This record gives sequence, C-alpha cells and structure tokens, in this order.
Amino acid sequence: MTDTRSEFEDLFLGLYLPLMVVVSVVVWLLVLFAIVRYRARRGHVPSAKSDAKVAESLYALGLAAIAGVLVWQTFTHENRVDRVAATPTTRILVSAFKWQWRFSYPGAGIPAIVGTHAHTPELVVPTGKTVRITLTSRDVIHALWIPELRFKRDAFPGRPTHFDLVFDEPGRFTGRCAEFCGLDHAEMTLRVRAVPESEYRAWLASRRRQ
Amino acid sequence: MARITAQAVTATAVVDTPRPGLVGWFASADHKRVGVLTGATALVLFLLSGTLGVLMRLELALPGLQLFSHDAYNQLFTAHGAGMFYLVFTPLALGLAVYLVPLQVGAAEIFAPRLAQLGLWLLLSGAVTTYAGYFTQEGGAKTGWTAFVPLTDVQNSPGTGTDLWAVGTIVVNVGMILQAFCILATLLRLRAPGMTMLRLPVFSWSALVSCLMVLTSFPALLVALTLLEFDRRGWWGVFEGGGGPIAYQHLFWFYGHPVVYVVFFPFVGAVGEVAAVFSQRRFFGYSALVLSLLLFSALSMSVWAHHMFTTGQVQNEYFSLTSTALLIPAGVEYFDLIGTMIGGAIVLRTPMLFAIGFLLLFLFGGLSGIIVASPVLDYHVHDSFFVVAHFHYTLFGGSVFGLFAALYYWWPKFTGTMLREGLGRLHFALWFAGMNMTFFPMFVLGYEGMPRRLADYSSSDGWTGLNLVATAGALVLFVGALVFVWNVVSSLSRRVPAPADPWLGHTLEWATSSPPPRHNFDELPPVLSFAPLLDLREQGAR
Repeated sequence: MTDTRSEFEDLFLGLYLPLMVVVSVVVWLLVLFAIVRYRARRGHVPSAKSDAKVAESLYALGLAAIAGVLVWQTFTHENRVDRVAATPTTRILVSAFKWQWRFSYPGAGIPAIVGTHAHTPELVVPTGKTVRITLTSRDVIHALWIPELRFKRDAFPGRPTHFDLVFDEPGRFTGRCAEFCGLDHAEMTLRVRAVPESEYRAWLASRRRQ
Repeated sequence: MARITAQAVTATAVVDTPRPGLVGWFASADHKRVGVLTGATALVLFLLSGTLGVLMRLELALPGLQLFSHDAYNQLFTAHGAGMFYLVFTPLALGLAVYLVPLQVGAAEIFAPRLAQLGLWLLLSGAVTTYAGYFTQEGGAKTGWTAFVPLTDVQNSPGTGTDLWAVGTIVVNVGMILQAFCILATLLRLRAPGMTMLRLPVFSWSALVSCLMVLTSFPALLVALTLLEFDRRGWWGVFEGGGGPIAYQHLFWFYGHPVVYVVFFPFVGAVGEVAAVFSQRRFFGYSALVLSLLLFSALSMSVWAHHMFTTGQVQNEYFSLTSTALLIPAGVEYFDLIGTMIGGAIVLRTPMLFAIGFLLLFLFGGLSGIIVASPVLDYHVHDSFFVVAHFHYTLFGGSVFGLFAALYYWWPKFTGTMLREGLGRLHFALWFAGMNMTFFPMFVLGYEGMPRRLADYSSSDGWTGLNLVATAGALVLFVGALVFVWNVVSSLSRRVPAPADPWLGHTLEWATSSPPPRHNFDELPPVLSFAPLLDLREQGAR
C-alpha cells in the first residue's frame, strides 16, 4: 500500500514546511535587526573583526546535521512511495499521446477508454486498493500528474514505468499532463473517479455489456 | 609579475588604435569596452525577454485565450526562458567579469583580449540567428529552453525556426566559453604584485568558480544541441530509439544545472562587495566564503539529475543527497553576508538596498530549492508553478537583485556618471513589491495543481484570483524597469561626473579614474589583503 498523499503531507507539513518558515522568520529578523541596529550614525565605529572561525565551523556542522536529517527523512519516505506491491489488486495501462490519454484494464474484458478533444477521458479506480499503473507514451514525453495524490510520473515513449497508487476516499479529481508536450499541452487533462470496490465492480460489468 | 603587466600595456598600445564612434567600440579589444558591450547587449535583451514575460502574465491573467494562440504562447515562453538563460544572464554574468576582473586583480588588460572580443561577436551573431527564427514561416522555437527530445525532433517540431534557435544557441555559448577562459586565465596569470589567490576580491572569486563551471559544463550543451541538430538534419539519429530521450536529458542537465549557478555566483560576489562597502567594514568570513564557493561549484557538478526525479530512470537518492547538501555552503554564505552587516555602519544607498533585497528574496528561492531536492516532494511540485516560483525567487530575487546591486554600484566606474539616487530607490521599492506579488502566488498555484508552460486554464480550476494578482505584480515590475531606463537616460543626458571612488570602495578598480584609462592604472597601491584600499584608509587613520 503506497499512500502517496499521506507520505507527502507527513514529510512536507511535518518537517520541511515548518523548518522553512522558522528559517525565513529568523533570517528576515536578523537582516532587519542589522539594518536598524547598525545604521551608520555619528560616532559609531564599525567593528574591525573580520571572521569568527570557530563559530562559523560549528554553524557549518549544524547545517550538515540539518541536511542529514532532511536526507534521512526523505529516503525513508521515498522508500515507501517508490515501493511496488508484489500482487497489486488492480492493473491499469495508461498510454499518453498528443494530446490525450488512453486507459485500458488488462484482463477485465472491457474496451479501452480513449479521450478525444470533445470528451475528457475518465480513469475509474477502486478505493482502498493498490492500483498498479503501467505508464507509457506513444509519441513524445508526457507526465501523468494527479495533484490530489501529490504524485506524478513521466511517460516515456518505449520505456514503460510502473508505480502503485492508493485512493483512500471516493471522489472526483482532475489529472493533467505536467510535461510540456507541444501545441495543445494545456488541454491535456483527464478525470479521475475513485469509487468503492462494489461500485467499481458494477462499473466494470456495465462496461462489459456495452 | 610587474614586468608582465608592463609588457601587456605596450603590446596593447600597438594592436589597438582607437577609432571614433560605434565602430571604435565594436572594433576595440579593450576588455572594458568588450565588457560594457556584452553587458549592454544582454541588458537590452533582458528588457525584451522581461517584456515577453509580462505578455505571458497578461495571457494568464484570466481563464481562456485572450491575446495569443496556443502556438504563439508556446513560442513566447520559449523565447522568454531561452532568452533569459542563453542571451541575458550568462552574458551579463561573464560581461561583468570581463570588465571587472582585470581591474580587480590590478592587470592592464584581460588575458587574450581578442578572444574575449570574439566572444562578444559570437554573442551578437548567435542572438541574431536565434531571433531570426521567429520570422520564419512556422515561427521560432517552441519547445522550451530545454528543447527535450523527441518533442524537438524534426517530426514533432518541423520548421527552420527551431534549427536557427539551436544553431544560434550553440554559437552564443561558444562565445561564452571563450570569455570564461579569458577571465579564468586573467585570474590565474595576470594578477598584480602582491595579489595572491587568497587576496582576490570576493567578486573575483565568484567569477573564478563561475568560469570553472562554464568550462566544465557548457561543452555538454554544445554536444547535446549539435547532436540534436544532426538528428534534425537526418544525419545521425543519436537520440532516436529507446534510450535517446533520457540520454538527451542527462546531457542537457549536466549543463543546465551548473548554469543556474554560473548566472548566480557573480551576483553573490557583487552583493558581498556591496555589503562590505556599504557596511563600511571588511568582508566578514572571507576564507569561509572562498571555501564555500569552491564546495558549492564542485557539488553543483553532481546534482544535475534532480531535474529528472519523476522520470523513474535515475538514482534519486544520490541526487537528492548532493542537492540537499548544497544548503551547507549556501548557509555559510548567508552567515558571511549577514555577519558583514552586523557590527558594520550601514549606509542605505541604492546598491545596498538591492543587496538587502537579494538576501531577503533569494532566501525563498533557496529554501524552496531544498523542498524540490526531496524526490517525494518533487513528485508533486515538479513541472508545476511551484517550480516557476522557486526559480524566479532564485533568478529574479537572487540574480537580478544582485545584478542591480552591481549595476548601481559600478555604474559610476563604467560610465563616469552617477545614477539618480531617488529614482534608484523608487526602482527598488517597485521591484521588491512587484517581485513578491508576481511570484509568491505561484507557490500556491503550483501546490494546487497548476502545471507550468500552460497557455490556458479553466475558470473551474479556481486559479483566477491568484493569477490576477501575479499579473498585476508583473505590471508593477514593468513600471519599475521603466524607472530604471529613465534613470539611465537621464544620467547619461545630464551628466553628474563620478569621482574615482564615490563609495569609499575596498578593491583596486576604485584606485583609478572613472572610467579607467585604456591601460587601467597609472599606479597601483600595495596589495596586502583582499581589501587594499580599505588597508590604505586604515593606515591613514592610524
């Protein structure tokens, strides 16, 4: 199970963003303090000190420690995001082309869903299950981005890529091509509909009858 | 060393007979004229490329296509981005160094002056070639400054415009490599007596590491674009087939990441000099800064594939590690810059305002850079407006604010005239506000799912409000740029003559007249530290 969204939020909201906010506030305050406190005034002689080697070395070690924590946390989160399950429940082939998407469900016995300029294609997925996406492109490089899941992956021609997604909650989301792919790149959207398992089965059955 | 300098003076006097007017400028191998022309060309193209950016913002102000077609918008963002990197920032960074480095190290001339001059001519001819593409039938290049394949192959992007763009870009960057070589050789071979490597001014050190990166990384771009053009001609087909697209990206980013530091470091160096001079004290933590610049440039050669986290075809952990490690030298630089201000006697003239703007704004670019160095976070924000916000805080908040700190600071030296202080402050205020209005909303837009390089979006996306704010900010930036142009015109038409050293500078370029004579110096003060003129003043006070 790879819950990309909660891994992202755990790392971003739990570590990176708070750290960035603290550093921003500290640096802005330091600069403003320097401007106010050390403005040139009559009788004020600037300091003759031109370095602080011990303090600066300790500070650099502190920076290295921060970098170490960030990298360690990133690695542990990335291991979980990049892991692919041995036996995914659902497999979907996503093929990108200028400037649309094609979704096929191998073994499900339903016809592929192909988008057209007039009709945005819809990717239907079951909630709470591991969905294995195999992504490829028929022409140039595209990228499948589902902002709701905080995840994207490039689609290369001739080089299929595999990854697992999990949709926690039912809902309708927008997906987009994120890699610039030529003339109508801006129009290359898709819809994603996550539905409970039972509804998903019913949807498959109705597609089979069509 | 003294003898070498004297020889250089007599040698140039023989080869260089000054001619009057514009011909005299373009025919001159004087590094000052080459530097001014390289910088002036890039500055004019900066105003042009910036205006294209404003046009992009006007299109994106509201949902729907109002001003441009998809095709025109794609040409617009390509011209904006490619123009800024190839024709604006690289020449500005190197042009500044071509002018200043010989003066800062106390040399009479740049190393191999005709080569530096050839660099200028290649810049001019490459720029003309690139822009000529926009007047061809199919229009100019429209696949972004990165020109990924297979999108940029001849099937997907037919038309001469793309070929002219590729060839023009190659020509420009050959010129940039030549200029970088001349600057580096000057730093290594033409230093004045007493000017040891650890007495080089901060700006000269920043130029040195930039030139090292140019010489090691720019050839990768020449290879990538040459092979791309061979493929487009149907000669070789190197990038066709399975591994081609990813191979192109490796080649491109091996150039493409170091270049963002090439166009950043000289401006960090400039900010360092401005911070020291306008805090009226010696630069704080000089040796730490030199070490951090060297570490930074070494690391910068090993971070390129952090642009490729979402390809699923690179070793993400390695590139995440090297990229995150950049925060160490960057943090040291902040320590030194703020440390210079704390304990100083700060004078808030226009150059110092822009230097402080650099510190406050680049901060957001650097911090968001740590975010995109984490693959898990990059999976979401890669190729979105979050990244657009990130690199505009580094390149506009960082490089451009540093550039204008440099321009306002060295303008008296370049031209012999002073700029107007009031107009400079107005320029700063407009840009500080406009910068944040334009680019801060983009962090949020990207996080909410707006991809970059997007000609259009829908009202149902809910992005209209923030896009309107960003466009309003871009107009404020445009007005600020007009204030700068007005300042330049009025300072050149009603001249207030500049003294040799209007700011109580620390480095050798202030020890000669403004502008300096053809041979740079009539006499040099003794060089006993990286701030020789400050040494003299301190001795005099004692």
